[in-house]
Amino acid sequence: MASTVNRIKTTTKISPMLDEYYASMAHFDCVAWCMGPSGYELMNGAGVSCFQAESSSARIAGGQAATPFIEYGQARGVSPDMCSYAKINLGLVLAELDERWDMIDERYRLNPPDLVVAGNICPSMMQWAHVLGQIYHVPVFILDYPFCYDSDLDVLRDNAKYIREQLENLKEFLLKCSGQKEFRGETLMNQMAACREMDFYQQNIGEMLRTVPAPASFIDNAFSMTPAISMKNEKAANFYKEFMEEMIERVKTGTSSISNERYRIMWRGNFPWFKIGFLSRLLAKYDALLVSGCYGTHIHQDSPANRLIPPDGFDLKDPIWGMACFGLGGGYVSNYEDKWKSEFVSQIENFSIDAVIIQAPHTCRPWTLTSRELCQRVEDTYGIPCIVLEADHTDPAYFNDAQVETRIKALLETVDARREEKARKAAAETDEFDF
Amino acid sequence: MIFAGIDIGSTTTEVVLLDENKKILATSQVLTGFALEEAAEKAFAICCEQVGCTRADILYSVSTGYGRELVLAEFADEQYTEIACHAKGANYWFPEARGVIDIGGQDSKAIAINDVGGITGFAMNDKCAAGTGRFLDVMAGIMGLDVGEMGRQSLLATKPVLVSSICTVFAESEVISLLSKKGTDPHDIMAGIHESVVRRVNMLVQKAQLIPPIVMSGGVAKNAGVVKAFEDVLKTKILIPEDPQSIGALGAAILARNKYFSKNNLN
Repeated sequence: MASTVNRIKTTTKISPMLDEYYASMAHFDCVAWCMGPSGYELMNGAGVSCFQAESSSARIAGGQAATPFIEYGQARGVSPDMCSYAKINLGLVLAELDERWDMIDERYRLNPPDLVVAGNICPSMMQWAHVLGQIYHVPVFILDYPFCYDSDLDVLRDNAKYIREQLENLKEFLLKCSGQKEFRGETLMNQMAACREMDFYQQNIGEMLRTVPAPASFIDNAFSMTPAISMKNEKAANFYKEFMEEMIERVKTGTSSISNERYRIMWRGNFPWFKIGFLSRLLAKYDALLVSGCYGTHIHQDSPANRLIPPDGFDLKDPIWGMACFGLGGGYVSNYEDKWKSEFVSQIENFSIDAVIIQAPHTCRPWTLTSRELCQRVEDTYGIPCIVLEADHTDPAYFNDAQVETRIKALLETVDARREEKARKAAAETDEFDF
Repeated sequence: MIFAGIDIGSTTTEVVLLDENKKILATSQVLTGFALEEAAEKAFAICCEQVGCTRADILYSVSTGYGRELVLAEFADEQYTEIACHAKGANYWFPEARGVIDIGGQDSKAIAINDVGGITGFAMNDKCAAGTGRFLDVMAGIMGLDVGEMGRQSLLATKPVLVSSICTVFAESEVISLLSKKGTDPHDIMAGIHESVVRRVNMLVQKAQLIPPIVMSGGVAKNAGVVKAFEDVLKTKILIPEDPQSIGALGAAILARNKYFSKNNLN
C-alpha cells in the first residue's frame, strides 16, 4: 500500500508570505531586478528593493502559469533553449509591454526595474540581464564570480577579496541609482544577522534529514528556499525557526514524512518547480522519499570556500566579507572535484542514501554538464544506482509524467535487485561456512 | 497454479500465462488501440480459452507497459516497469545473457542484467521517436513496404547511406531527398535507416554499459536489418527469442509467480 505524505505544516505559510513580500516592494522608489548571487543584502540599505527574477519565475511555474509566458516570448523570438527562468520572465515582460493584461494574473504583475544586477554564475544570467537592460533602458551591474579551478585556501581567499571589491562598488552603484545619500549600515547588519540566523536553522533542518525515517522530505526543504533567497529578513528567519521546531517535534515523537520509508533518495540539481506535488506523491506511492539534495541548500554543503567563514558563522562586523564568501561557496563556480565532494560525498555518506537522481534540466547548462559522468561515478564509488532524469526546472514542455514515473520506478526496482543480490551473496557465504 | 503477465504497450498488448514451474501455458497479442481495458480483456480471453480457465483461476497478475496503471485495478495485482519485466523475460530464454536491448513502438531501452534477470543498470531514450519502432514505421511508409520487408531488403545494401537527422520528422525529409537523388540505391538508404536506429540506441547501450551476451526484445527484434546493424556495431551475435514481443508479458508473469511465492512463503 502506498505511503501517505506528511508535509511539514510550516511550509503552507510560504505562499501568503511571498505574496505579502512582493506587494511590499511596491513601496520602494527604486527597484533592482536580480538574478544569480547579486548582493541582495546590500539593496535595502541603499534604498533599493530587490526583485529576485528566478524566484519569481519559479513561483509562476509552481502556479502552473508558465507556459503562456514561455510561448509568448518564443513567438517574439526568445530561444526555446534559453534558461526557462529567463524565458518565463522575458515572456511576462513582453506581455506586459504589449499590455496583454488578459493573460497576466494580478499576483505576477511586475514592478519595472530601475536597474538590473546579475551574478555571472552562467552566461545566461549575463545575457538575460543585458536584454532586460536594453528593454527597460536601465543600467546593468554584473558581479563576476571567478571559477575556482583550485580549492587552495589562499586562492579562494583572493577570489573572495575580488568579489568583495565588486560588492563595495555595487554599494556605491546602488546609492547612485536610488539617490540615497548614505548607506544604512544598520539595515545591512540586521539583514546579515537574519541571514546568519537562517543559516543556523537551515543547517539544523538539513542535519535532521539524516534521521531514519526522515521527519521531512528534502522537497519540504527545497520548496522553502525562497524566503532565504529573496527575503533575507526577520520574517524569513522566523519562518525557518518554526520549520526547525516542527522538525524537532517530529524527531521527538518519531513522526516521519511518509508512512513507510523504504527508499531514501538523493536529488541532485534544481527542481521541476511545477511538479513538486507530483514528485512528492509519486515517490510516496512507491515508499520512496527525497532526503537530501544540494539545490537551495548548497551554501551549507562542504564547499571549500566555506572554510573562509568561522565555524560559528560569518563576522557581523564585516558583513560584506561574509557575502563574498557565501557567493563563492554557492557551488556554481566550484571545480568538478569540489562539486563531487560537496554535492555527493557528504550526502551519500551521511544520509543513508539508496539511490541518486540527477536532474538534467533541458534549459540549464550548468546543472546538465557532466551529469552522466557524475552518475557513473556514484555507481562506481558507492555501488548504488543513479539515473539522469531529463526534465526542466520551469518549462513543462520538457517534462513527461509517464516517462518520469517509469524511470523513477525502474530506479527503485534496480535498488530491489541489488538488495536481493546482496542477500543472495550473503546467504551463499553463510552456506559456505555451514558444516 | 496459473500466473499472468500483461504488457500494455503503445501498439500492442500481450498476455502470458505461466504455471508454478514457470512453464508457458498460453500467450496472446492484440492491438492496443485507444481502449486499453478492452484490449486487456481481449488478450486475457484468448489466453484463458487456450488453457481452459477463467481469469478467476489466475492466482496473481502483474501488469507492465505504459498502460500498466490503468489496468491495475481490474486486471493485475501489482505493476512493474518494462525494464524489470524485460530483464526477467530475457533471462528466462537466455540465462547467460547480461544485456537486453528493447526497441518498442515508442521507446527504446538498454538494460544490464545479472544471472537471475535482476536489473543492474538501465538507460532509456528521452522524448524522441528516433531510435524507436515509430521511426521505422514512418520510414517504411515512405518506402511503401512493411517494416519487416524493409528490414529484409536492407540486407541487399552494398554501400549504406548515412541518415543523419536525429528527428524522425526531419529524417523523413532527408530520406525523401535521398530517394530523389539519381543513382542512389534504395537498399542503401534502407540500410542507412536501420543504422540510424542502431546509432541512437547504441548510445543507450554504452550508457548502460551492456556486455555480451545481449538479447533483443520488442517488435523491432524481428527486423533483420536492425539486428544485423547491431551485430556489426557491437561485434557480437544478438540473441533473439522466438517471440520477442511477448518478453515483457513473460517477465511480468514470472514476477507475478515469484511475488505470489514470496508472499505465501513457498519455495
